[in-house]
Amino acid sequence: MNLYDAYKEPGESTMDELRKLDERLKLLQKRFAASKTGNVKDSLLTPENLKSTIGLLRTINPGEKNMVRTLETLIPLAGESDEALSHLDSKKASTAHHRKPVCTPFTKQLKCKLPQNRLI
Amino acid sequence: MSFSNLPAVGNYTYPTAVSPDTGKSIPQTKPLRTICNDYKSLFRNQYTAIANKLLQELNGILGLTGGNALSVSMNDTTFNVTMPTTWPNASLGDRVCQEGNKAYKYYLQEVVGDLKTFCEYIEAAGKTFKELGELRGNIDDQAHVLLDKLQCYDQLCGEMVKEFSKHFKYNMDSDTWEEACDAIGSSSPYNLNSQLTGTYTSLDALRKINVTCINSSGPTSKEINTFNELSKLDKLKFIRLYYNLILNNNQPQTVFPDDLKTGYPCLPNEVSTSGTEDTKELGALELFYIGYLIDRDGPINALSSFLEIKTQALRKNISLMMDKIEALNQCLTFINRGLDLLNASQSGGEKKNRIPDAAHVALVLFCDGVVRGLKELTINGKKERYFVLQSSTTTANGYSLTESGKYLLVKADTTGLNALLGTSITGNGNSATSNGCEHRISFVCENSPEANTSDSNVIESSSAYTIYNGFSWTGYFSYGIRDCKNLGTILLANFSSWNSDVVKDWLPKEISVDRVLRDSVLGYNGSWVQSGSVDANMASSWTTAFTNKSEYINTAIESINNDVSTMRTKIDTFDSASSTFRNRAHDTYSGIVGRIGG
Repeated sequence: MNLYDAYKEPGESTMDELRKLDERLKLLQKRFAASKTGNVKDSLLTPENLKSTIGLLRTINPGEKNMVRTLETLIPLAGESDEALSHLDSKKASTAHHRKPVCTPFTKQLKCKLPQNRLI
Repeated sequence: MSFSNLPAVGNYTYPTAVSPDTGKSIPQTKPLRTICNDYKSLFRNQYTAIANKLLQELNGILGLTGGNALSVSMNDTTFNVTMPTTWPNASLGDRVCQEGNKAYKYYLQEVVGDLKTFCEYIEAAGKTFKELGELRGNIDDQAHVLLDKLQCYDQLCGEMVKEFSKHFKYNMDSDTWEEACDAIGSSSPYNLNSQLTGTYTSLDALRKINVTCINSSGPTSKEINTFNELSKLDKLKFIRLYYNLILNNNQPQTVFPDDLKTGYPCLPNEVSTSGTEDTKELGALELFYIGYLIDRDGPINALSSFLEIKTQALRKNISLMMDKIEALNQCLTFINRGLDLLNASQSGGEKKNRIPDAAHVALVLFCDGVVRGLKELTINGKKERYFVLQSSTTTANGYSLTESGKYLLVKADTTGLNALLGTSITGNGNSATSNGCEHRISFVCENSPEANTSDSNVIESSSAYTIYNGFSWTGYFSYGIRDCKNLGTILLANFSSWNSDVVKDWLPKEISVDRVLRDSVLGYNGSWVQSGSVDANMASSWTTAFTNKSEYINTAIESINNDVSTMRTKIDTFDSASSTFRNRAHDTYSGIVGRIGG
């Protein structure tokens, strides 16, 4: 008597079923991944468009703080390549605001960018 | 540093301040020395103090004390603080599930990155003060350039302070979270507005934090599920507290699938804390993990990321289920080899005085032993899967640990089968002598490897365990092939502490398969070295034992099949949800684009 041949069938059919389920899940994963902004037509994601969106959101939906914050982090990336845009979930987005000290003489340009909200 | 060389009189018009009331710049006309002293006071008394308070908080979160504690000072020396970017106690980090660890490191790196930058600004300001102090001669133009630098650092430091003080407050009147960024003025430079105050003794308490809320009738507090609304430091503190509660208080670390390497932190509907039962359902992801996904991918992608992770968790669980079935199927092949050799040994008259060692090993290790999932190890850069076997069992906290802390690892394929059971039909049975089969198994599993590892090499080691390969095994299995020096077929894992959490985390979970007790088999304790001691009844009893175990394995597979059905239902739900969700995601994005105006 060969025990393996006699008892292997249930295990093999369960394995087949699991493989099929895995295939379905793989497709689902692709669908969810395709829903991310990194995969949306990125010609729309220009810095100007994003700034306009932020302005509009602030006017018509001031409670949408998280969305605004996210869009703000996208601005420095918006001018970059498609490749960079497809990795919006990377560390780059989260650390985009880390700037090294600017050791050049004062420039008006820089001054414009900095929030003037602190009292000495 | 002093500014004695700078003029104490005269007027410089310099935009040193912004009115907090009007938001407009107030041109100030002051002597240069006074302006410099204002800046110095600002960096020394406010920013350095705030940075140190933040570092002090970080020290508290990470448990850094004494010489390891982080601090910053504004002086003339080069700033040099080594910021940790991982768990200060590496062994603790090893015991945190990998996905939870990713979330922890994400926030740790963000906090550390920001604090390091903050400290660099302060250091740069310190250098600028030094340069100001060294100015000589006609200093007006040079001073102006340096003051411009200071103003720049001031603004950047101000941004950092804002980053760290930003959080959300719950408005009970409108049921919304509102962004709050409490001012850190000179009167309260140490107020970091932590919402994670008090002592948390359970995970449930941590999951419902008592936060101060906005209410028309005045501030009030409420217990509420929150993570994303916390400040940056509080988020890191939350995750650290979460794992401290688990690691220090033995609270269950529940992940789905039930594997610290692949599982996601979750709150399963049915929590499994034993070594024998798996967490059956995904349940809800932990709040901090959802928060991490939102921070990592951005709120706009949160739902996609969330569902993507859930789908990924189910796929990983499928992989674990497949491993279990593979383990059970391989178990069948090992039992089958035992039966084959038993039958072969009975086919010739002169062999009937033997029950083959292979049959004995199959009985002890596979029929009566603990059946676990497969353990994946990397040998020579290649991933291999192993049975984790033990010669005798002792139950500790339901994990069936061995008191020797030793486990035999046999490759779950034909090479492992041939190395462990071979093809020989001879054997000494279970005699009490050192040649007895079970005695030899026990010797290897319970007394070795220390005395027998001279020709072995170490596959993997940590402070908690060592995995040996190629130890002197042939001396104990003198019959048959047993080519254990054939790299990686049979290994031995030796734990320094047998009943530690490390062993429990390392061991694959048991698969519930009924045992066939070795004592129930006829002639198991018999001495078979005498000629003719194996009769038909005895051979039949062994055959029945192997057949029964195969039946029990089938029952275990049926049980896995039930779990597969539950999972299929969940996947059906996901499938239909995905279409709805895609439409919604598309609508959201279209809405944004529409607002832009094309």
